[in-house]
Amino acid sequence: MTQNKHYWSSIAEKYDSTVSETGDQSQQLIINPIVEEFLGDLKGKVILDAGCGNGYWSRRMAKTAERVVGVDFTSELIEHAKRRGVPNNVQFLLGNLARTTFLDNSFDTVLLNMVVLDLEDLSFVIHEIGRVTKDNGYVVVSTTHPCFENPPHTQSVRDAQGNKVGRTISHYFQTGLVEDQSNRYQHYHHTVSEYLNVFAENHLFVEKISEPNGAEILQNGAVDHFPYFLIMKLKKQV
Amino acid sequence: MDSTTKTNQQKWDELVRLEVPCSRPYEDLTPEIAQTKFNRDNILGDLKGKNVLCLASGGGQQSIGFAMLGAQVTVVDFSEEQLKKDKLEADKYCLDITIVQADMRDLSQFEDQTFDVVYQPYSINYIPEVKSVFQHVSRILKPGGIYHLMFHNPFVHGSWKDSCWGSQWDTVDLWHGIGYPLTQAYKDGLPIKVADQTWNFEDTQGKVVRTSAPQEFKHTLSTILNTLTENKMSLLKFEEYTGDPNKTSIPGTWDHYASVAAPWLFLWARKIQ
Repeated sequence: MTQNKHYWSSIAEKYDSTVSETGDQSQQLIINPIVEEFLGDLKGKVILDAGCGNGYWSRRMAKTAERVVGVDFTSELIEHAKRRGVPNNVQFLLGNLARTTFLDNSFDTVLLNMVVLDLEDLSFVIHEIGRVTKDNGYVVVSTTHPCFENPPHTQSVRDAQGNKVGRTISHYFQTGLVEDQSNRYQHYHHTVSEYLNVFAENHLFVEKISEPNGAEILQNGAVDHFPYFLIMKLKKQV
Repeated sequence: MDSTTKTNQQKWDELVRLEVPCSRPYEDLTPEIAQTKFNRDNILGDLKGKNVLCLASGGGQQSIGFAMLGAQVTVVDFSEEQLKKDKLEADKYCLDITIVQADMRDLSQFEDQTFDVVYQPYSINYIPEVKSVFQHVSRILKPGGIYHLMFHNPFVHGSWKDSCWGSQWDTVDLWHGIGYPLTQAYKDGLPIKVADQTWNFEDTQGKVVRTSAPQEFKHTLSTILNTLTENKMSLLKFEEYTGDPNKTSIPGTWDHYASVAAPWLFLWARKIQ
């Protein structure tokens, strides 16, 4: 946790300028339309933006929702969120998702947008998310696709001209911290079964799941047939 | 019956006659072993007196196991040869099971809410779409009943050179020091192209058999999970096959492949009350 917190503090500035008010290119073109669809009509809803970063999704949801609470564990990001503007029905809080101050059944909908890949241990946070979500409420989760993540889990196979022609799979079961020193990038790898089982154990059942094909949407010329992201809509049913 | 299914049906009859390992009844099966194999962690509950459908499950393995655990068993398969194995095994243990020859996509002969458990081992990848199967399964399951499904991991389906078993697999190294190649598109219903289209295995005398493979189709994770939800079944548990951790893994071998790439997936879903 400390290591990850340090990482996020160190990239907060760069992250804020990349993400801005819309998300980066992948988020704009691939993730956001599906997250939007899975969130559904937010009119009258009380929302938790769990791992809100610079708060662009909180502000976006606040346009229709009754109230949005954005929580993040990186103080620099919460500062950016506040600096970018706090609408009347939005509150940004510095906090740990594994131990929040919210009462049981507080939120109609919880958004975990590109957050679970930064959690070393899913169980505490998902338990907490399950607890604060109302019965029959929804949790929307987006993450990089665990089966086609960055090295060492998969690598692109390129032809002589450098075009992506396929992928390899390796070390899929090697879970935990993945670091790319050169790109100063890190995340935690979890398997598909880790995700699906921790949700089910916390009464969060898959309502809908999407595996968008990144290459097709970005039209980046990669003959790369695999989904880049995994986006899920879960329903709390006790 | 469509021509692909007809071909697969004939292929399965032939595979059974060739003694393919997955159609050989388990030797020395006991209720304890059956519990470990089919009802680990008691996920299906106490099976005594329960109605269990072993779906597309001929070959005398699952049906006999569930009957030993006290269930009222019906086994469905499209291959007559597979079902003969179930009959032989049931007679051997003096167990009473119901045997039905049918396509897994048409279970209309069963009444609504008949079964407590529908148990489907590896078979859904022999048909191009899962919807018709899930519609029937949901209809014939009792509310609260459980559907168990094993299917091919869509992320790696078609990534090996062919579908060999055991040592037969280990002749060509596809690892190349970086990973196993994924070359086929991630699309639901995609017919799997396998390099030389053969299955290689040893028969009961240890003789190596090479024969053409049945046609398989890829089913994506999202299609499987969304179609379950659309048919009022919610996911309880999900597993990825991780190989045998006690075996040494030399890159390029089947054991190594299974330890990094999970060839099979297993799920348990509950029919909503």
